[in-house]
This record gives sequence, structure tokens and C-alpha cells, in this order.
Amino acid sequence: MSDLNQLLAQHAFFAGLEPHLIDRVADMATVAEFPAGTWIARRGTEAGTFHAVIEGRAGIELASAGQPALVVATVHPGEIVGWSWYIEPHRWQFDVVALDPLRTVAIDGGLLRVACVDDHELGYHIGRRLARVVASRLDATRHQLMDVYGHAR
Amino acid sequence: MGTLADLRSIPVDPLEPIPYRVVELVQETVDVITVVAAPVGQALPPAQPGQFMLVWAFGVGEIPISVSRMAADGRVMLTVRAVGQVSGAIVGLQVGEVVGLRGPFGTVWPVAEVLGADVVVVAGGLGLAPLRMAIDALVQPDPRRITVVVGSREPAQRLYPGDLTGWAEQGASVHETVDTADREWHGGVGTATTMVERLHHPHQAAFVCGPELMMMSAVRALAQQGVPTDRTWVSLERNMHCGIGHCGRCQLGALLLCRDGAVVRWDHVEELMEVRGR
Repeated sequence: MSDLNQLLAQHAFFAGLEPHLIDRVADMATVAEFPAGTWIARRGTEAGTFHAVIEGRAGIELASAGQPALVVATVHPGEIVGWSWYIEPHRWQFDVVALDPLRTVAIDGGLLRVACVDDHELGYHIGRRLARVVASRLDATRHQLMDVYGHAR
Repeated sequence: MGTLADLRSIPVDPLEPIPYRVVELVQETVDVITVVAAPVGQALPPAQPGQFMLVWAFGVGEIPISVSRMAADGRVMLTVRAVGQVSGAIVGLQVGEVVGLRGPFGTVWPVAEVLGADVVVVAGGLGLAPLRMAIDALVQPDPRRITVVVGSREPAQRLYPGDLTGWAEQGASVHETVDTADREWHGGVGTATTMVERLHHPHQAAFVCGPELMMMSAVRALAQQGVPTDRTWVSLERNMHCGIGHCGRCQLGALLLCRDGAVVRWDHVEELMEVRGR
């Protein structure tokens, strides 16, 4: 098994995926490194890649005009950055920055989208895992919106 | 006629406030302070981890406040956020002023029962205050078995940052998360539950304290990770008023939380926590 295949097989997002499906994803992937403070994605740009975080933290940022950006979520090893590659219009919805020196497996979202259409088994497993990530982030966002530390609930 | 020494040996009436003088005020965050109070005369019995005192701000009113730490000389540390009239008066106290204390009341974190197990402690916001003595007691004998997860609103609202560093330096695994931050923040951004979900190390027991929505969410995540519900304890607050289970204002189902809580085992209250108010 190549290093890349091993990184993917050991990553929580891909855990349990059959080896032949890991092989397919690995064919579309490469290891990427980002120094702290560099952009991984900018809001509104094409979402062609998604990242499985191996080391370091990525920060999902939100900023309004003239205001300093706020980190609204951090993404840690074992988690992924980005699902916009999967959902039209395939544009990043947030800015993403490397908060630490960051190492990821960067996967070509365009190629994986096509592969998911061609191979419904792969498509099912990727879709199911993405839905789990989206549901988890939605749940976390709801709780953050409740501002539970600011008001007794 | 009895002497002063005789009078001091009379057991404390749980309904009678005992005067304590404020000897120090620690500004924890912009709206949270820790009042350090020493007995003027007779001292109350020492509080155990998780217990609370009823604190009189004379002329204003009385509220329950968890004891965050006890000193060997009887000084009591009470961490308070100004959210109402009484807590506002307590936060506004000056060194030298006197408050009335009753207690300590309530159940305790079962530290002895979980020693030797891998324990995760989850605190949200001011919920770290009632857990502080329990974490001290857990970390001291075997820090490597202790994981502490702390959620706060923002970095400036972190409680006891010195303690968090100290517990980590002793060997405990400490994970902090906030709801929002700037890039300088070294921890996670997200909920305490999300941070709990990141723990890959299995735990056999859990202590959880914070806003109830946070606790319910965290306890579910802990259960999914295999922490038994009969080895999970939470701290619940209601309108604690008398402190001795007589007035009934703190009723939750069959429990009177001033007496049967605040620390309760999760499997004893899980169903009650699903009951909606009207």
C-alpha cells in the first residue's frame, strides 16, 4: 500500500472504505502542505479540491466588510475541509486558513464527483460520509447560535 | 451562661447565615469574579467538590453559588457572574465587606469512586467552577488518566486559565474550545461536544457541568464513545432556596436538587431532562 493510500485508509473520514475504493480516491489525491497563515480556500472561488486533514488545524472564517475575520470553526486531524466541491454551484462558502502548519491529503473534487456518478458504490459511501459531516457541523452551529454560555439554558 | 468558646461549638444552624469577610477579589473575566471570603468568627464545615453555599448579599438577597475552592484556613472561594440583582451585588463587593454564608449543601462529585479509571471532565462556561476542586483531586494522584474538555464563549471568557495550564503541565490532557475566536487562539473553535467527539482515548467515567443544552449534547456524545450512563455525573441547578430540601423550589421530578443534587448520576435524571416545560 502506498503512503498516500495508507494516509487515506487511516483517516477517520475514509475509515471502513473498501481498499479498491481507497485506491480510486488515492488516484485523485496528493499530499499538500500549507504554512500557518496561508489560505486554503477563499469564499466565492471555485471549490475544486477538498482536504482530509492529517496534521495541524484549519480555521473556517467569516468576515463582513471592514470587520476583522472571525474563526467560526476549526478543523482538526481526522476531519475534512470542504463539501462545496460536491454541491452546486461548487463555490467555497467560507474562507479557510491554515492556523498551524497544515498537512492534508488534497483530493480533486471534480474528478471524485465524476467517479461518484460512474461508480454508485463509491458515490454512496462518499455521500454518506459527507452527510455525516454536514449533520455534525449543523448540530454544532445550532448550539453555537444558542449562545449557551451567554444565557442560562 | 456559656462562654464564647461554648457558643462556637454549637452546630451551625443550616438556615442561619454565618458572617464571612471578603478578603480578596479575583477578576476572572470582564463580568466574572471570584470572591475569597474568610470567616469572621465561627467557620462553616469545609465544602467538598461540587457542593454549593447560599450567599447573602445583605439587604439585597440570597443566591446559591458553587464553591470553586477551599483553603486550609477556612477561606471559601466563590466564582460569580453578574446576571441579576443579587449576583450583581456580590460582584460589586469590596474587600472588607461582609456577606452571610450558609452551607455547604448538596451532593459531591464522586471522586473516590472513579479514581483509577480514565475520567473525562467536560465543563462549559461557568460550569468549570463547581468542577475545579474535583479536577484538582483527580489530577493530583494520576494526571495521565484525566481528560479535561472546556468550552467557553470566546477566549476572553475563559475561566481559570492558570489552572488549565497547571493541570496540563501535571500531565492531564486538556482540550479547550470556544464559540468564536481570532487566529491567535490556540485551541479549537466549536462546541464542547465537537471536542468530545474528537477524543479517541476511551474513558470509563465522566463528570459534566455547564449549560443544560451543552450537558445533554455532551453526555450523548460520551455515551456514543462508550462512557456508561451510570458512570456519568452531571451538575444540575434549579432555584435552590432553603438548601435543606424543605421548601421544594428546586424540585426536579422526585428530586430536590439542593439536597439530592446538584451532582446527580445521569441515568437517574436522563428521562427528567426530556420533559418539556409549558
